Order: sequence, then structure tokens, then C-alpha cells
Amino acid sequence: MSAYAYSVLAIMGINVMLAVSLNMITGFCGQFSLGHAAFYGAGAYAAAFLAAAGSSVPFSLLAGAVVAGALGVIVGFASLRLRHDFLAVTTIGVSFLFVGFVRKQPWLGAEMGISRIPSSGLGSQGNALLIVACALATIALSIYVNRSWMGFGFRAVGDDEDTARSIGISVSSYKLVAFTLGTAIAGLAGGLYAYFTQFIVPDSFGFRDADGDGRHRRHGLHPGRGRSRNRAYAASRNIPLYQRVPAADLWRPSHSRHALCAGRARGSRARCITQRTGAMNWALEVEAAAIHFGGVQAIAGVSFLVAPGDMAGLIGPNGAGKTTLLRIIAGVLKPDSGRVVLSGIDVTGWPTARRIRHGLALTHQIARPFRSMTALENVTLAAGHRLTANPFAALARIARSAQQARARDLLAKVGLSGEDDKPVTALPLGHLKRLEVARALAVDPSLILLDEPLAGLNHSEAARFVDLIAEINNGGITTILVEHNLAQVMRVCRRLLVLDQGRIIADAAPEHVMANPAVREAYLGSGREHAAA
Amino acid sequence: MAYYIDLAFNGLVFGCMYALMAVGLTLVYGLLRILHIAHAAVYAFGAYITVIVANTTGSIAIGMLAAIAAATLLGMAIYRLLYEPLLDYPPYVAMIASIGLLVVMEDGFRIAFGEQGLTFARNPYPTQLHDIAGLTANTVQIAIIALSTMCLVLLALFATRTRIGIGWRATVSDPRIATSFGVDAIKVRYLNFAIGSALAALGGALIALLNNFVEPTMGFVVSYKALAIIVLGGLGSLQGTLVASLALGLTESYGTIFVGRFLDRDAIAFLFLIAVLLVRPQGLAGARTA
Amino acid sequence: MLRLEKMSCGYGAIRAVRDLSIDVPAGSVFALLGPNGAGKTSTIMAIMGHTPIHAGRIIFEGRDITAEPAVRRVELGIALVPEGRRLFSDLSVEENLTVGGYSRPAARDALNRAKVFELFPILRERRNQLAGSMSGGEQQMLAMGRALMAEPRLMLIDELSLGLMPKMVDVCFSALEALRRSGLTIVLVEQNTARALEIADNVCILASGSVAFSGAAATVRADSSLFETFLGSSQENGMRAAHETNSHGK
Repeated sequence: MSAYAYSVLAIMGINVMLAVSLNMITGFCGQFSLGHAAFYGAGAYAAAFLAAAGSSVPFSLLAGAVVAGALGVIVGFASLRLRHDFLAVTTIGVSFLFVGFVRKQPWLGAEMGISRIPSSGLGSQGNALLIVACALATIALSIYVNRSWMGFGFRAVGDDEDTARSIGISVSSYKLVAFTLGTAIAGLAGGLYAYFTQFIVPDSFGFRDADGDGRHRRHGLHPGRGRSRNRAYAASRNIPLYQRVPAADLWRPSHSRHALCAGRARGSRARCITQRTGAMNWALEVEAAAIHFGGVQAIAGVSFLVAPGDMAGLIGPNGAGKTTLLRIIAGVLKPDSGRVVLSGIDVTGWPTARRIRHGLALTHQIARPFRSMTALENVTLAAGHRLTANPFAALARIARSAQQARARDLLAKVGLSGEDDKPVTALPLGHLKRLEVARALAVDPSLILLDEPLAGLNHSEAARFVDLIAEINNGGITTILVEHNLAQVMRVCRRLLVLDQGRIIADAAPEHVMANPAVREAYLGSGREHAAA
Repeated sequence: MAYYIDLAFNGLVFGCMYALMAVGLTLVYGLLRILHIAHAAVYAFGAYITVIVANTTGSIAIGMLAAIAAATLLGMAIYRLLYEPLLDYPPYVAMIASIGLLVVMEDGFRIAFGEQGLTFARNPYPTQLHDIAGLTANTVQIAIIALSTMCLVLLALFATRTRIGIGWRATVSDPRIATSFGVDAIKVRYLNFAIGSALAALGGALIALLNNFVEPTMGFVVSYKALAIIVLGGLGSLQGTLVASLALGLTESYGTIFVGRFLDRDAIAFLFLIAVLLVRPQGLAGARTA
Repeated sequence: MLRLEKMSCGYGAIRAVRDLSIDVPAGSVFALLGPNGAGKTSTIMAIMGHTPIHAGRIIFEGRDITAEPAVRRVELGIALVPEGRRLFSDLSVEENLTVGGYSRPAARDALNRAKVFELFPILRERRNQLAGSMSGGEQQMLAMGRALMAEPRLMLIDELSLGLMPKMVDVCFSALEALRRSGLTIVLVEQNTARALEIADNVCILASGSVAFSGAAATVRADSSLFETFLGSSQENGMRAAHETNSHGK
């Protein structure tokens, strides 16, 4: 082959490394990083500088990767705080900053760059082949990451950060790892480039360098490699086909009104109790929780206890603060004062993902599955929550069969057996809600929070769904649900907490609560007492 | 001392230029949540048309008017042909398309008008110097400050004193409810792009006069700086954008004295941006999102 | 004045409302009640042209307006007071009113504005204040004033009393009464069923997108067992459960 052909091969290899590494950040993890050239440049400069100072080839290349990776971690931190459009512009800025910086540094060659980089000793053909080898290795790494549990976690973060948190994934850790990995590879590519051309100038690494960072970006977003998703957008586009489900016979579980052990203990966290005693831990304690938004006291001193195995309904008129209270328990909102204690552990300062890892599970009012995955994948990922807790540990694991088997079991349990391999975008609302429950069960919870699970369901769907919830509760999992559909709530909850204007105004068995005049007044308003002006 | 006033004046001139560019970007973002990177091409287009028409007709004023008119149409066409079909997709799709359009147009300028760029046949203004209270300024610099101030004041009056302007602001605030009261959201979008593009073209024309030179990539750096400005100003906030434009102009000017040994002018601008965002992730005037 | 004929609407393929038929006589107050998620707001938004309609028709003043684009509906004489007020929070009180009157000739703006200030004097005091900085009650008054600027013959009000203190609720309902006396037809979605029943002539109770009850308000005022109907499911099992707990509770 001619020398020209080798140099084409080399450039292709570099581009592949850059595109694939960018894909890890943008495609897998959904972080919009437009300044990839800066990391490429940082690696090139670091390697060139050290090479010119006499370092060996492996050391220089490694240094290039490390320097770029370090820079990547810093930018990664920025990504934790900035929205995607701010992040996009900031990363463009990083590009400009890099070029503007090196252009002015005499020790980095200023405008002239670094020339006369020592030869790597491989000759230009050898260099080109080395680059190709690294490019292939990068592709292999990318495929491996994609297959591993870490890649699974990346997809979750890219799809929907909040849902990822709700299955115990620490979104910040994953983002940082993605940035570090992606930028380190870009830095390696930079070092290889430096050895190949034997001189580098600042302008090669600007935002619009000769081959166009844009091209890498567009490759990075190529379908089939893990797409980046806009989470808010995905959440706002709701559900497709609505199927009319024929009214089924309503099945009433024959459960008594006290918590019982159903012989299906879920891990060590399910507790069998036959009565409430003070000796064991409450499943949930909320103590004097209060929060205000812009002058309005949304929750004003709410305290209650929930025993393990309890099934409590949280009801109240619109705007009473039910969802706010649920979000405080889940860790989505931080209360101004008060405590939340889960099974004896004070979790008040804990982020949601950490609470999930300690026995909490939640479902959302608007079902938010991971849209790029099938139903089975959604539940499998949740079932692997112990693996995804630490991204590096997740990198080391590929096998999914155990979690998949568990996921199939759970899908059958919620009545979705036939739907395993369907993409979630094809599921009707009722099925999506069941999927949320399956996903919540997969994290082995001892306490489940359900936010308006029956919203949008017709009468027979709602009845069947509530029966499912009751069955789950029978298995020993403490259940709290926020709901407006009083008929269903009264059917299965052993206890109702009524919230009105941020305070609990009733906490008793359903029949007592509904007969309580204060509750009626809260719903109907006290219009009759005020004469029209 | 005079040196520092000179720098301040210089910063002010640049700040006004940035404002003319950034206002268009912020208007588009506020309404559609799209980063309209192709705005740079409209700016460059305005500059090219000014030079070409001025050289053909012999009058720079006619050139500027033609440029503003043509760019207004171009801006509205970009909305209709590029962004409207993409509104149902996530916002970054439109942004990538925008970058693509910028690249295409830059190459278009290169092919149509040559790699070397164009100059005015007759442009006496940059060398006409005036002495204002000890400060030396040329005609174009004064024109930049005067015209941009005038335009921004007119824009403010339009937005607060006319029915259409108020309807426009209402659409930005809540498009659906504005529609419920008869404000046509589509017309508002066209208006947005028209005004933004007109201002960009004016900016392009003035920069062409100042440097006496236009070339294909002239929009590039200014565009990304304008992006930095609207981010700094809080994305969608008009007042924030204006403050940020001036702040950036001045920071660059003064920044080059202190940090100019380590960073060039553009890098200083972005360093400023990143520093602010680290402290206030929502920008200077943006609202904190939950 | 307004008639919905077997209207079904909803976003995407979801049927928020199914086969709804209601009749609102001119000059009357029509209350649309029901639990959350029942489809009340979807119905209001469908009348305004925002919620896509799958089946059925909307007849206003004898004309089929089902296909009219949303931006034209205010010109026909229908004005909206949205749920949660949805004022233009960056605009002042005056500017919000200006937008309200956008579809009307500019010449009548001053006259309509004077009428609004007469009905709600506090708005005149706060005319230059930003809408987003006002209290809940003042915002509700501004939302109503904004709708009045459009010189409507039919006013749709979604959740008048939500989040308001009782005193403000009184003021708003008094204003409503005054508007009714002046001949305005009103469709009112309201959570405070007692207040709504006091002022309404006719009532429709929605549950899960279909009609659970439709008739004169007087009938509902007399029958208190409809409490459970308002808030739970209207169908068989709901009623059965309600009667069971009633017998336990007493």
C-alpha cells in the first residue's frame, strides 16, 4: 500500500476513536458534550510535550490519556449541575478555552505548536497500524461497555435520569465515569495523532477543526449505537395505543384486616408480623415534616408512623400536599424541617437513589419507563440494582440471566407475561402502570410508595390494578398509596390518612374517616357557612 | 487613565455588536427553546449583501437597507424550512441541523463570493476620526453605539407599548393561553425570526464597515460568543442578554490586559462564561429550575 | 347556547372524555363536577379548541365549531379562565388585560378595561404590578378580567376556588353572580361542590370520562348521597362500597 493509503487509514482510525469515545458520553449517557476536540488536543499536547522531552512512547501516550481524562472529570462535574443546553454551550467554551490557552503558551510552542516530535520508532506504516489497532480496541471496548451492566446503567441515565434514580442508580457517578472514559480515549487518540504527524498546532483542535468535530458528533448520534434521549421530552410524550380491556370479573382477595405473612418473603427485608408492637422498627416514620414553596406552606408539620406490612391510603382534596409529602418521603424534595426514618434508619438527608438501595421503591403518577428498552429490559435493569450500585463493579459484569429470570417472574406476577420483549412505547397505559410496579418490586423493597396508580385507568382496569396492589401488600411489603379514586381505596386500604392544606386531619380505618365531618368539609368546602357577600 | 477609558469604549462597542447578535438568539430560544446557531450565517449574509449592494449602487445606506430586508426574509425562511419540521423532535436535533446549515452557508459564501472575501469599493468611515471628550473614535464605532442603542430602545418600546408587542411577550410566556385570546402563535414566530435576523444583519453590516472586510467564516466566532452571552444572560431573558453582552464586551477588553498573556480574547470570553456558570448554573438572570 | 353532541376527545389515543352530550342554555350557569382525572379540564380545553376531538360535535350559538382552529374561538365569543389561572406572569396587570382584548377592536379597549376595573377595583390599584407577584385571589380576579376583555358571550371557568382563601372565594363567586345577572352564559368547573351547586342552574357530573349524572342543580342539592359519587367511581362497585361503609359508619 502507498504511504497515502496508510495516512488515510490513520486518519480514519483517529476519527473512529473520537467518534466512538464521544458516543460513550453523548450516545450512551445522553450528555451533550460539544467540546470533544479539546480533550483530543489535550492528549496530543501532553504526549507531544513529553515526547519532545524524551519520554518513551507508551508513557507519553498514557500521559495523554490521563491528562485528557482529568480534564474530562472536571467537565463532567460541570455536567452534573448544568442543563443540556447550558452544557452544550459550556463544552463549546471548553474547546475555545483550550485553543486560546495553548496558543499563548510559549512552553507549548504558542502559535507554532510543537514540531519535531521524536519518531515513535515504528515508521509511518507502523504508526498507522498502531492507530488502527487502537481504533479496533476502542470499538471492542465500546461493545463491551454496552453489553456490561455499566452500559445498561448508562442507557438508563441517558433515557430518564429520574427513573434511573428510582432504581438506585447514582446518576452523578455514571455521568462522571462516562466523561472520564470518553475523554481519556480521545486523549489517547490525540497522542497517537501527535506521533503520526510529528507536529501539532493549536488550530487542529478547535471547535471546528479541519475534519469537523461536527462529524464526530453526528456519528456519535448515529442510531443503533445507543441514542441520546431528551429526558424531559420523553417524559412529556405520553402513551400510545389505548386498548379497551373487557370488564373482567372482579376478584376480591380474601385477606383479613391484619397484616399476615404470605409465605413469600422477599429477601431479608420482609418482615412477618401478626400484630403491631413497639419492639420492632416502624417501616416508616415521618416526624414533623414541613416544607414551603415561595411563601406557601405546602406541608405544615406532618407526623405519622407506618407499621411493616401496613397498607395505607393517603387522600385529600386537590392541592392538599399529597404528592409533595410523597416526594419528601422519596427524597426528591428536601423538607425544611422534620425527619424521615426508614426501618429505623434516618434517611432525611439521603438522595433518592440511596433510599432505593435501602429498601424503598416508588412508582410515578405518569408512568415513566426507559423508552429505549423493552419491558423485560426495564425490569431486568431494576433487578440488577445491586450490580448497578457501583459503576465500576457494574463494568465487570456482563451476565444478565439471573436478573432476566427474576424479571420474567415479576412480569408474570403483574400480569404482563406476554409482553416481555415489546418495546415499552407499544404498551397501553394500564400495562405501563403494571410495568412500573414490576420495576418497583424488582428492587426488593420493604416499602412501596405509589403515586396515583389508578389515574387514567377505567373502572375495571382500576379494580384489577388495586387487586394486584393488595396482593403485593399481602406478600409483606408495606404499601402507601396516594389516590383520588376513593371507592377503590376504601376497598383495600386498612388505614386512611387524610391530608388537607398540608396537615393530616384524619388517620383511621376507612369507615371512620369517611364519616368524619372534618373530612367531608375538606372535600366539599365550607361554602354553606359563608353567606354570599 | 485615557488608556482605560479607551478600553471601556472599545468594550462598549463590542458589547453593542454582541447585543445585536445575541438578541436574535435569545428571542428564538425564548420562544422555541432552540439554539439558533445558524444565526451566524444570517449575520454574515447581512454583511455580504451590504458590501455587494453598496458596491453596485454606490450607496452604503442602500446596501444596509437591502441587507436588512434580505436577511429578514432569510431568517423567516430558515424558520419555515429548517426548524418548523423539526419542532416535534428533541431540541438538540434542531441545534445540530442549525450547525449543519451554518457549515453549508459558509461554504456557500466561499463558493459564491470567493475564499478571499470582499471589501467595499468606497468606505471612508473607519478612517474618519472624531475627538469626543478626549476619546478618539471613528464614525463606524459611533454609529455602532448609536444605532444599536436606538434599535434596542425601539424594540423595548415595541414590546411594551404596542398590542402586537404585548401579544408577542404573552406568547413567549404561555403560548397556549395566548392562542386562546386570539394571538396567532405562528405569526409570532415569524415576527421573532424577522426581528432577530434584521438586527443580526445590521450587526453584520456595521462590522463590515468597521473592518472594511467580509469573509466566509466571519460569523463563526461571534456566533458562539453570542451563544455564550445568552447562556450567561439566562437563556431567554432579554434583559439578561443585554447585560451579559455589555459585561462580556467589557470583560474581554479589560481581560486582555490582565490575562492576555495566558489566554487570547475568545478564550477569556468563555472563561468568564464558565466561571459565572459555576457559581450560578442558571445564568445571570435566569430563574432557578427545580 | 352551547351544545356538545357525543363528544369524545383526548391526546394521542387516550380517550379522556367519551360520548359526552351536554346542553347549556343561554344566560345560565352550568356546573361541571367530578373527581380528578374525570375529564373536566379536557372538556373545557376541547371547547377552546386545544384538546383534539375524536368524535362528536361542538355547537355554539347554532354553529358547528368543531373544526374551528383554537386561535379563532375567542372571536366567536368564547373566553377562558384557565385552571390555575395561567396568567402571563412576566406581564403587568394592564398588559394581561391588553392580551385579553386582543381579538377586539382597539377602540373598545378603554371601555372594556373600565368595566373590568369597576368589577374588580383592586386591579386598578395594582394595574402596573407584575401578574406573577400578586396573591391568589387577585390573580383569579385578573384571570376573570382578562377573559372579560374579550367581550365573551360564553365564559368557561376551570376551578375558580382552587387555592383561594374563603374570603376571596366569596368575592369571586359574587363577581360570578353579577356576571350572570348581566346575561353572560357560564360553564363552571369547580372542586368546591357546595359553592358550585349554590350558583348553578344545571349540573353535569363526570367520572372517568363519561357522564354519571346530568340534570338540574336543585336535584343534586337535595340528594346528599351523591357525595360518594362525586369523589369515587360512579359505577356499581363504587356505589356498593359507599353504601357498605355508610352502614358501618353509622
